[in-house]
Amino acid sequence: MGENKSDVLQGTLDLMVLKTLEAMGPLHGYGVARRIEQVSGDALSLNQGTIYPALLRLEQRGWVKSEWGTSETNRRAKFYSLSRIGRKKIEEETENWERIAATMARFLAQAN
Amino acid sequence: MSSSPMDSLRSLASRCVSLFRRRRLDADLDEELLAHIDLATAENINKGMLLAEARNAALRAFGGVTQTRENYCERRGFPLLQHLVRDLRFALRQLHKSPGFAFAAVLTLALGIGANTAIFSVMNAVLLRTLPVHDPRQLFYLTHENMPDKTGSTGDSRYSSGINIYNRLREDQSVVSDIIAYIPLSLTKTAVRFGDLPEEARTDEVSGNFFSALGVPMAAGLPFASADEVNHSSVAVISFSYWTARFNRDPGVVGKTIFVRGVPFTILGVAAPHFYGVESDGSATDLWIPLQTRPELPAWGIPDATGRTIYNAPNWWAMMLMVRLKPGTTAKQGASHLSPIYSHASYETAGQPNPGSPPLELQLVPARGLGTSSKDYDAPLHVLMGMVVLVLVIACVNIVMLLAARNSVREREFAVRLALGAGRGSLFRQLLAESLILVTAGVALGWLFAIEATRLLAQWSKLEISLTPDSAVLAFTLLVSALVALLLGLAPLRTATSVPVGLTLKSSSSTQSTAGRSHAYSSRVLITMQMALCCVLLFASGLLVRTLLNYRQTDLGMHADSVLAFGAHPLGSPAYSTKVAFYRLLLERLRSLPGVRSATMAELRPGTGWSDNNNLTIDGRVYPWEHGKNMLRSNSVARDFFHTLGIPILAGRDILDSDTKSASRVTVINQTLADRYFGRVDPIGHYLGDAKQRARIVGIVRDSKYTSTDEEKMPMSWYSYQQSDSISDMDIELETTANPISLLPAVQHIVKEIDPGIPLGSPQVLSSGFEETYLMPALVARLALFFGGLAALLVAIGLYGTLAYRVNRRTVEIGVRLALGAQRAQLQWMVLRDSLFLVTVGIAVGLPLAWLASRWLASMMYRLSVHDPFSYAAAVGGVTVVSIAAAVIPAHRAASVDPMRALRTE
Repeated sequence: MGENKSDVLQGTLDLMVLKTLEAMGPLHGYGVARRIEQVSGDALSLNQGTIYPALLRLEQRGWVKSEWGTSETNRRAKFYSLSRIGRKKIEEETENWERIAATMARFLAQAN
Repeated sequence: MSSSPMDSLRSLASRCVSLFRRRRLDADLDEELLAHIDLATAENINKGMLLAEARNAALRAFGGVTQTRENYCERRGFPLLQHLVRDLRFALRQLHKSPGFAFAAVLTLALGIGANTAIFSVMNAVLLRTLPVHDPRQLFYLTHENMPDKTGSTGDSRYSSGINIYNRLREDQSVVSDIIAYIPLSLTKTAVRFGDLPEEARTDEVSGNFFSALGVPMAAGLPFASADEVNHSSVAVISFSYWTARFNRDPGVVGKTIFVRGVPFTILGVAAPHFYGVESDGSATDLWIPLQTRPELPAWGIPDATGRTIYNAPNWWAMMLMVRLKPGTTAKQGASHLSPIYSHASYETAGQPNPGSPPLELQLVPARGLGTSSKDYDAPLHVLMGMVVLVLVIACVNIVMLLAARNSVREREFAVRLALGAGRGSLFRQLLAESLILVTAGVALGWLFAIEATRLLAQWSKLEISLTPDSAVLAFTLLVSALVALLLGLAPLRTATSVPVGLTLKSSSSTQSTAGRSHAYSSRVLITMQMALCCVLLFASGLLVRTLLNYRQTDLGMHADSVLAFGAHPLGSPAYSTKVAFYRLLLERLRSLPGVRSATMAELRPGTGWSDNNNLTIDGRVYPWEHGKNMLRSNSVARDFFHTLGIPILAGRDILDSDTKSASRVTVINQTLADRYFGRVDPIGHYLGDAKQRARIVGIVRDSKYTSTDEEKMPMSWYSYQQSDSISDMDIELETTANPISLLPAVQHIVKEIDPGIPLGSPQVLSSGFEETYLMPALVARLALFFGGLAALLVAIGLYGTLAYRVNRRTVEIGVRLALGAQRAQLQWMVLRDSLFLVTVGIAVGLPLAWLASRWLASMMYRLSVHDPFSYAAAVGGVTVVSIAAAVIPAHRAASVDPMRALRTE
């Protein structure tokens, strides 16, 4: 995996994680990974493991918080939820992403 | 995804916290990842998979668990820091595996760095360092060559000036902002008393601007003011080190009274730390008072019955002067402006010089290092420096060889690690960590060594100025060590990565690659070079040690070992008769002391460097000075002087008690004076001195040493102390039957009984005074011996390593030879021959080098040629012994190779 590619992926992955947590509420790592796979309709091939460094990064920035809880199968698991800062950041990041996507789209259209 | 500075800050904080909770967080991560797999497995089972299949699918979907964990951990803490710690740990483990190597490398570095730092620090203090005062670059000592006719001086005549010069220079302030004057209150130390106990302290009387012009702040109290000089105030400033040693830094001493030669002075202030006065010979001043006119406090402690003071006797040059040039004025400009004023002021009082007299030449000597005394230390320190550098080169070569040998052995290790996928970067980091550890340990140990070595050097050389390892020197050493660490780290990597991995792995340990062969060759070249340098060092230390032995074996012409000498100087300015009575009583009592064979005294204690020098006049005929060729030395002594010191009287008699002021003046002369100026005529009955001071020669004694051990033979005369115009402060000499020092308590008791206010002046065995006159050669010889020994040891270690390595590499060859019928003695000879070949080449290169180096040693030789054959022989013998000693163990090992085992290992 080249570094440039993973960087781009990282940015998108972070936003996907935030959006998932916003939609689903507190969720453990496996839940976040499954949800992303489902929403993307399996178009995205994701190593589920990569979700954890992303979660750590968001937690270090204070956008996400975590606590230990019990899963639906009675397994002890770490649950992640959005922090107050995280909720505010989602709006910013969404706008940001849309601007980039729109710009990209314009470029692609022009190329055609 | 953009992150704000706040986000980064929060990340940083969280990373820092995680550093301290690593174990706990690791456990959390493991559990979280396990939970993930469990949850995924459970879902897969729900979908209808079997357990094993479900688990495999879960793991597949997850990706690499270990990789995830590593990525995660790198995000969490500070990966670079953690790598560094890991590398250092690994390096420590590696070094721990070869403790001999680590020990040798660290010790070599420490000795090299320590010796270098110590010598550099002393050199810096003696030659380069400026006085710890404000803007020292503008400060200069006023010195001169050729004193005008009709002037006399006390102290180092080059530094001495008269009062008229001081006054005239102060009138003209166009290039000079301050003129500073200082005069010692005695030839050595002055009697002071604080409370009841009398003691001695180095005391100077100084101009009122002394502290303000130098720019020395006060640690406590106040400095002198100009008015203190005008009024000759009874105030004193003490040095910080005296304050520390004598008063334990009690701030309460300011305002208290201290008695200087019995005269009360009020302590006004304490000078700043590290200010040891301005004496140009490296001695530290303890106490300063303003310039005085009292008869109890004569300049240099020399009493004068005529009421002479520095103020009323302008032709007595006893003051030492310093100038602070105005900013922007160079020494040259200063000297050319001051020179005419200086000469005019001198001739104003001394009269115009006789035609043909050499002109007075003013010189400005920078107040740096030890002033002109620096010259005495110049050659020895440079020679020591040179020796240190040679030792350092030998040490560094040793380390390089040690490392190279170690790395050639580790070639296989590196190859294996590279083959297993280790990055070159990480190999480099680990090698760097290893050399970093070695160098850091070496520097730390070397610094400790430097502190101790500097202290010992200061002690041995009797320099009273502050001598501590210099931080600039340390910084330099650190820089060099950092570079060395980098180079040592890089060097093995080059060989490790340039040799194809496959080749190294394929070759066995006994048939090494080409790198091993070229290593063997270059190490032989290096060893030979080391031998040559060692040869030079041993030769130099041979010369210096032989010089020291010559000093030691010099016949002083007296039995100085059994003579106790000490000063006893009555306080105040007692009248002639009082002083004679004091000394008569003292000598009387001392003579009756058990263990004292005889007692005498002298104005100038032999072996202290002081002498009274005048023009020689015989029977009214004045001999021209001619740069001191016709100089006559003299001393004032009491009865039994020659008998007490053990100087044989060749003709006539000793000085007697009956040689009083009322009797006609008499003198005793030495053999040299008799031989040189009387020839076959019997000198007894002839007269020395001009009409006023005429003295009849009554005795001739054998030559002896007067001021120092290495002085040339010169004319000398002794007078009866009672026949001087005024009685000087005398030093007592006692010939003792037992250890002279053991008499000290009894002597102290007697002096105290006569006058409780008098301290015993610098008591010592007379011979130790003479020993102090060759302190520097003794110090240099000891250090040279140490450096020579160190070099020999280092060379032996290096040679041993090389020979052992070669025997190791040739184990198979040796085995084959043995199997084919070679004798074990032949094999021993093979190793020894190898070593002897190296030493022969080393000597062949070293001896010419030694011959070249001898040039720099010439000025330090005493009664020894720099081409001393014994020293050459010692150098050759020394390195030969080293080469044989280093070969013994490898030779033995070669002889004890088991042929079967050697062949089987292949």
